[in-house]
Amino acid sequence: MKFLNLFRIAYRSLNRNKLRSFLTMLGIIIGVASVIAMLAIGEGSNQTIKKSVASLGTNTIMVLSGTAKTGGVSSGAGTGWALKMEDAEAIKAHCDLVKYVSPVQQRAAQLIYGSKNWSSLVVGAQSDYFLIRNLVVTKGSPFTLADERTAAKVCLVGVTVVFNLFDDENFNPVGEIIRINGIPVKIVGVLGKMGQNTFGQDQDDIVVAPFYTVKKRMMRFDDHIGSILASGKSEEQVVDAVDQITRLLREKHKIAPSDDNDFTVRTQSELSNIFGSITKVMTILLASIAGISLLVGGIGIMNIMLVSVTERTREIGIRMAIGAKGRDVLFQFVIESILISVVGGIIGIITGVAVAETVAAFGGWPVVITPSSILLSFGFSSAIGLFFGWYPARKAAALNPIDALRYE
Amino acid sequence: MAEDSILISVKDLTKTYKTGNVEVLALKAISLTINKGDFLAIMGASGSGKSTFMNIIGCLDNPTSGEYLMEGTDVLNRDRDALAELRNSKLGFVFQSFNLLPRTSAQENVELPLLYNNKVDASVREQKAIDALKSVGLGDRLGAMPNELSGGQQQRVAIARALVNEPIIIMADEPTGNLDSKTSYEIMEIFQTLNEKGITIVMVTHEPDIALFAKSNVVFKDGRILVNEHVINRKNATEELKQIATLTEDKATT
Repeated sequence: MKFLNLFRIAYRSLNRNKLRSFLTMLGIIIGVASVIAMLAIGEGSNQTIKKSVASLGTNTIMVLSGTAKTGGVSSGAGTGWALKMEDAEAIKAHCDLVKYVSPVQQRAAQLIYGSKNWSSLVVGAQSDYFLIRNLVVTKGSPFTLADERTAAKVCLVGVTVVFNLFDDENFNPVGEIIRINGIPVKIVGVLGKMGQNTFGQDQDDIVVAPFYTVKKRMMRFDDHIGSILASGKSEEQVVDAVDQITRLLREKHKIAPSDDNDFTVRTQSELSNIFGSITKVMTILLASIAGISLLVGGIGIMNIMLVSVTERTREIGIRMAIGAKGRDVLFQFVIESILISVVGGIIGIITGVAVAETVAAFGGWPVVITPSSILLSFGFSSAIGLFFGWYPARKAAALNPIDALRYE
Repeated sequence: MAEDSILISVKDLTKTYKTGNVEVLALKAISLTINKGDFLAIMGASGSGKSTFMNIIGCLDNPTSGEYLMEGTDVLNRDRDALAELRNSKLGFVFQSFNLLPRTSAQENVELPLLYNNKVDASVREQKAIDALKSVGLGDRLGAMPNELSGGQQQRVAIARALVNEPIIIMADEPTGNLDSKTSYEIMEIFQTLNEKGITIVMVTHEPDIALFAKSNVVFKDGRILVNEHVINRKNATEELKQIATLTEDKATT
């Protein structure tokens, strides 16, 4: 039997029953379209969350002082006095897995410019801080090493601060003098807009000044530092870098092996892992919904195919009487169902992409259409077509020509 | 009679149907030979076994026992595929209820046996179908759907479909059962023309006047052949049609 002839027979048969063919196809179209749209939306949300976690810096390592205990009452991480400036310097000197290190001293402070005032977070840090947190200076320039050494009264401000003190986000405040807790400080630069972080905190409501400017001029000056911010050489080596820092600080602080650390080392990678597992759960959820709809579509195909075998019993009888072999009938039905699922799959892909793009355009929800989702749904729909087409086709092929001809 | 003039020869053909625990003997040791160029009408009451016999010699069904030779070779004990091939290349079927594929044009219906025939090239398929339809006088209705055709026209499409693979024998199962007498005569005219060209025709009918168009008649009763005789006063369909035409003309004038 020439394959082309069978293909022609199957095509003519589908073409004769356009409505039935379309209804069968509809199941596959909806199944494939929903898989693609759901996976695209799921993948989009996945990447959005990942991006916002990454903007926190998954590479970032935070070293906090241990707990201060007053008469047995703990005050929480970072309240102790264990970290000193020399710890930061030691990390910089000895930990080869750590790239950037900056001591950090931060506090809330009142900012005043003319008749305006605004409360913001003032961060005292060294220039590595900009690199660790991926801060960009859009206007002016960062403070210099000389500024750091001399505890110069200079600072960089975020756009929220600019807006609240100067009424206009786009105002260039470089060179203006503001008062921080009464101390006059010159603005030397503006930080690039970062927006909100994953938890809704405004990351632009910030003032960054040299470490000693904050430590010496705005707070009690001693050897202690609030925390140390560092970044690992690479994301993969963050865990090793944490080990290195922990070992170094335990040694420096002379902590006996049996005692607890008097400091805490945290990384963002834990956070990103949590978000990763959340999005994974979401993707699996969406995929299983989509998979179920594909399955339902497949059962729809099988139903229509089975009904159509019964309905077309006479036709099968005629075909057999004029010389169709069992396998000709078998292949005809299999080709019909494959044609239906492949054409339905293609229409479904187009529909799914269109739906995903519509969601992207109107819902403001980012969508990412991955080739794997297209491949998966298309492959699955073809497999369903073959699988669910096979059974009714076998039934048709096994019919006795006389019984089929007599069927009313 | 010379051995090579025998087209079909069956010997002691029996067929038993089982319905539940009851065995029904549909054919009881039928022996019959059909010669090349014959035009055989099989008659008999319903349940006499004539359709069962037709299905067996049409290779649609297998007998319970017996011998069946077509052109001297054994037909029985072949598998389904071999029988399908035989039906496709050597036999043409015409049914009482026409059995055309619905929503399929006359031409596509006639092309169908060619699509199942490996020996026919795609390039000649269309022309063969058109020629077959022209030979039954439907050259102008190639694209017509079955529901746009009259009963007689549908039966002629079915005949064209039976003819298209150039069979040696045409099996017609009550081909005029659903048609009025004038249209029946038209179908008989086609059969007689085909028969004159050398195609053997086996036709089941229960109408005695239709059987008179055949060369010989076989009457079945209770699974046995009751009568096997040559038709003495054989009717000519063309003549009959002329007569009908003059009769209607007479009626119109008077």
